[in-house]
Amino acid sequence: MALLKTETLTKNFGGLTALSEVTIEFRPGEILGIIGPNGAGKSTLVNVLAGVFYPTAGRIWFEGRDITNQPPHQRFRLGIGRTFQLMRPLHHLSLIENIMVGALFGRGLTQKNARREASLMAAFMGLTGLDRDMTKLTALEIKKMEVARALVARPKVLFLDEVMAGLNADEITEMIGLVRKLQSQGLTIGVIEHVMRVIKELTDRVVVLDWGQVLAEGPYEEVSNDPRVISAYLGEDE
Amino acid sequence: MRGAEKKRSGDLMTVQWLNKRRLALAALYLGLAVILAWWRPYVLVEGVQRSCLYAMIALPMALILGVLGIINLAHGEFMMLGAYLAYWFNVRAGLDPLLAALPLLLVFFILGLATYVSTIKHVLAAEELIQLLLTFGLGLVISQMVNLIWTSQPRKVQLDYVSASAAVGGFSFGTFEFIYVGAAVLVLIGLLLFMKYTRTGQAATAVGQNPRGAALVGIDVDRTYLMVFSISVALVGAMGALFMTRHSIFPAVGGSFTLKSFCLVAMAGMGNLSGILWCSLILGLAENLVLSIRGYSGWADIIFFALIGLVIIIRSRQRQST
Amino acid sequence: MNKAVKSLILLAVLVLLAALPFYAGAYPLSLANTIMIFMVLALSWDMLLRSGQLSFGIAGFFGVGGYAAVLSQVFGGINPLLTILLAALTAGLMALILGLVVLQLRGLYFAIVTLALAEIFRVIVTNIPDLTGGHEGTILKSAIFAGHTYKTYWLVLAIAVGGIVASEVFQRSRLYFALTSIRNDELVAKSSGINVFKYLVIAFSITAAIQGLVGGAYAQIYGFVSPEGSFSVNFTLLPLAMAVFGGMSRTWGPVVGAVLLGLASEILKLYIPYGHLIVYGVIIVAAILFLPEGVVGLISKHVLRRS
Repeated sequence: MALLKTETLTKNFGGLTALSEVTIEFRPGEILGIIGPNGAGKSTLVNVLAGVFYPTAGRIWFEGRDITNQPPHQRFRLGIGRTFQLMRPLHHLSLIENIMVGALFGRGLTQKNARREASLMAAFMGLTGLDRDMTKLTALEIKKMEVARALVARPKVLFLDEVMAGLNADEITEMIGLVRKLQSQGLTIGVIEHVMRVIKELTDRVVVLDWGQVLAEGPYEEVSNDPRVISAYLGEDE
Repeated sequence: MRGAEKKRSGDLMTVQWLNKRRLALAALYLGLAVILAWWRPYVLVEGVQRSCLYAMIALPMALILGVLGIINLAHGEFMMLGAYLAYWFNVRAGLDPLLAALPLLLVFFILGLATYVSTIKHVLAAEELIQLLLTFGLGLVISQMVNLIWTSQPRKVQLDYVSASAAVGGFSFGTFEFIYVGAAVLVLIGLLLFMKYTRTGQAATAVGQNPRGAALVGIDVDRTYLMVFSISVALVGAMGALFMTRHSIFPAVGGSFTLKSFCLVAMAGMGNLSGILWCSLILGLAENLVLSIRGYSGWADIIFFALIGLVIIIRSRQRQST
Repeated sequence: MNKAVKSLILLAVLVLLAALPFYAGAYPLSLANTIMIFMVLALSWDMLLRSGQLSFGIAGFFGVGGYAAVLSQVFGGINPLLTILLAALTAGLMALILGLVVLQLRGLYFAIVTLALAEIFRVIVTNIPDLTGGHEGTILKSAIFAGHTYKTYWLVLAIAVGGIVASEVFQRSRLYFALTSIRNDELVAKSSGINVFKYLVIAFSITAAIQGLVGGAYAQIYGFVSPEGSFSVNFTLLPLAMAVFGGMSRTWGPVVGAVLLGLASEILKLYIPYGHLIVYGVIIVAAILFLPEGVVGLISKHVLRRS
């Protein structure tokens, strides 16, 4: 049974249709890639799944429950975590405190326990200097922090929204390793990416979006050879 | 290409829908006007006049908000300062306030330039609350400076032409105040033309919609901010001269105009300059209606607050459904 | 400076302050009262600031508290100390109701609504004269503790200590994490399990209750409330300037700011009887532009640099 699934999800912003009848599912323990040209609706999809936007039509099911109308903070507590396309550190808090937020409010831990969990998670992600000011961190560290912040709440599904953007080849390799480790611990992961290497190496299946609709679905090898997918990407240059 | 098509068809539907809604609203306004004209005509006349006073003053605030993205909490104080300067010119040099409006435009334009460069510019990248605190402090400085120089005793000038009146079928009303109607319409049209046809105005429109994008296209965002801020201050300072012809002035008189200007800007919505005129009618007529009710006239000052509350409730419902 | 030494110093200061009536005259006591009252107002304002919400409504809740205290005693015969608690509850409740509406949109809308608050309350109070005494206000038959200067001072001192403690607890609690997250990035906050609306309403209600408490105490101490006096814009401006000058988003900022500006204000009043408020306006503008971390921030930066 799918862990998370959508049913003809549609999202309109005024006259603009960002998502149109999207029906996809996340199977437990898999890494699902979500790709598509710019403006295809990938980030909108994540935002709707996370509760930042409410769909214009359609439903979202998580662990068999209808969560379509649940606000984002409740979805996080239920087990849906996400990172952000544009890095969003909480700059008045230190690195460890940033991570703690997820544990404090995603899992309702006490401050002491949240700090402990955050340290463990930081170690897992390879983060050091936990009392540092967020302004002193590298891009990779900030992205790791975001993943850690979502992870301390022990989510069941995690969306990584273009987490590899702006990283160099070595950093991408490191991130890929971390994501694989997460999968091995039973986490279901949605990877929204432009960097095809990541999709190729990490994902079990891929969903291709174009103009807010699902264009193709399947393993990367299949999908990358689909002529419709190829023309969608080529058509980007218009 | 396909996305643009989709967007255009969506726009067409929106345009049609807007027109229906607009017609309904226009009919509502007209109906209200007719009822008031028959039942309490002075409420209609004075209400429209007062509405346009509010609208005229609110428009420059909307300009700053739309382009710079900040609310100038010293807005009313600049107006008040303009009123006092016009008063001073009148008392010292016998200059008619309406004539004083022109040199005041220049004076306040320069004042706006100085204010932007020395203060506003430095907080544009800061948190919203810092910006609000800064303009709040500026307003305080201005009002207290006026208090120091002119004390808190209300001042008024005596001008003959302000008591001009006309009569329609046994009902007489002041006609001078229609100058506010004229001024409001003039400023609105002026601003719309400015935003559409002048280079600075077009730059301002672009910056207001997308500052980063505008910068990428080569627009000098800082200079645009400077110009727009100074124009707004110039306008509202000159309006002070118009204001004081018919009202007594005191240092704190600006505060309620800042609040009511915000009320109108909030009601009309971002970037909707002409909407301010329509919304001002609601505020002005409602206030005058309450003023005319015996024993409840003291409550007229709360109307704008209730309107802001309504806007908040309606907008938050809209946002929740996204 | 380790914790033990810090605590000892604080304790010593507290003892000294508590013993103040025994070696200081009526004027210093009255000045201390004024400073402490404004200090707690400044602290409560700062506490809400830490969530990113700017309130200009201090005077509003202060006045509401004052009226609640006086009217509940006059009409309900309630014990003076209890009326102060009632004042806190009333102000808190009012903020709760207001917050449920206004905090849906927060930020700018919230700031402007609070800016109008004192005025709105003043108009309401003036227009129900049967209850509130209208323009003239209402007088208490006697001030609290029959005007006994020692007891009055200790009451204010207790409130001041309470305010400082509240602020420190605030800084160390879950509330701090929630509000700081909300302040820095609301999207991240709500995506991290924080019910933004709930926490903002809580913060607003608590800080308003504190302002009402102070307002109630003030009304009891001076024995009267009036539309002009109780909702005076001074009760918004001074605490604001004190917190901005002393240093925002920290306990000792408003404390230091209150002491410094409170003393300065007394001196200023001697030389500039009117319009000395302009100094506060200049201080606010200058502090934002040149001293964004406030006096305390500046000092701690230098101290940190040394060590």
